[in-house]
Amino acid sequence: MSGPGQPDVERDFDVEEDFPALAGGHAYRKTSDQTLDYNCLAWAFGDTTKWWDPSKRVAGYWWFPGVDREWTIEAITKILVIHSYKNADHNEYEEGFEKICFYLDEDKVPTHFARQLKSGKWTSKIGSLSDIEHDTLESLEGDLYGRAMLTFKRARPEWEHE
Amino acid sequence: MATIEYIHDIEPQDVRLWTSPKPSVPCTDDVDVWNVRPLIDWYKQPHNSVIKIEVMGGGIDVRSKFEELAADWRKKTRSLSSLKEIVLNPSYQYIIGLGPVVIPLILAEMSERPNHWFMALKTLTQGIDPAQQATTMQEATLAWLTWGKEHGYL
Repeated sequence: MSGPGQPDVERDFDVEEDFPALAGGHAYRKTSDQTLDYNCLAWAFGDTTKWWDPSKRVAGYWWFPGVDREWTIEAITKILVIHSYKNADHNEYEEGFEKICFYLDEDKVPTHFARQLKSGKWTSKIGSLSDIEHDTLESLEGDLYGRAMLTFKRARPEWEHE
Repeated sequence: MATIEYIHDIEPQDVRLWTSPKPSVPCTDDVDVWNVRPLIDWYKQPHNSVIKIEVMGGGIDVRSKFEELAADWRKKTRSLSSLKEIVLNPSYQYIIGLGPVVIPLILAEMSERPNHWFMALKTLTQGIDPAQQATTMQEATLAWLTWGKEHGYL
C-alpha cells in the first residue's frame, strides 16, 4: 500500500536530515508527498485521513473509540489487539504475517510505528513529512525514535503463495 | 497622558499591557490582555492621574522572533507523531509565552503552512476552540482560519 498520490521524487531530504542512516537515498524510497493529514500510528493501520492522537484538550485529532486516551504501550496495544494483532517474538519477516513494530524511547514511551510489507520491507509515515518504504527498522533508530523494541503480528493468509 | 507603543504590525486590541494602577475595566489579573480602547478611555478620566502603560515585549521584533521560533519548532518536530511531544517543544512554548500578539502571526503561518497550531491558538484565546467538532487536521485548520477571518485577524 502506498500513500495518497504519487510523490514527485523518491527522496525526502528532510527525512534524510533527521535520519542520517537514510542519507543519500540509502535503503529507502519515498512513497508519498509530505502531508499533515495522518501520522505514523494512523499509517500503521492504513488510515490516511486522520492524525491519531489521544489529546482531549484540542480538536483536530482522532483516537480509537473505547481505548484509553493515552499515548502509551498499553493503550496502543489495545488498538492492535482489536485489529487481531498478537505479540511477536521477533521482527524478522514471516511469510503470511503482517507486523507492526513500536519504537520506544528510554522511558519506554512510544515514539514511532512501522508496518512490515509483504515484501519484508517496512513502511513508515515520518511525522508530518512523507511516508517511506525502508529496508530495515534500524535505519530509523537514534535520538529521535529511540529503538525498535516491540513487535506485533497478525495473520495475512492471502499473502501466502501469491 | 498615557504613552502606548504598539508592537510592529499588531492591532491595538492584541497588545499585551502592564498597567499601573490596575484599571477598573474587566481583567483577570495584574498582567493580562485587555482591549486598549476602553483602557484609553478609562485613563482619560480626570481621576486617573498616575498612568503607566508599557507594551510587553517592547524592544523585540515580535514578527521576527515568531518566525525564528516557528522555524526552529517546525524543524525539530517535523518527524514526531505525538502531539504532546510536538507542543512541549521549547520554541512552541516560547511562542505561546509571547501572548495573544502572535495570534494573527500564527493564523497567517497556518494559512500558508498548516501545522499543529491548534493548542497554541486555544491557549492564547483563553479556551476558544472553533474547531471543536473537527476530527481531521484539514477540518481544524479550516475552522481556525475561518474564525480568524471572522475576527479580523486575517
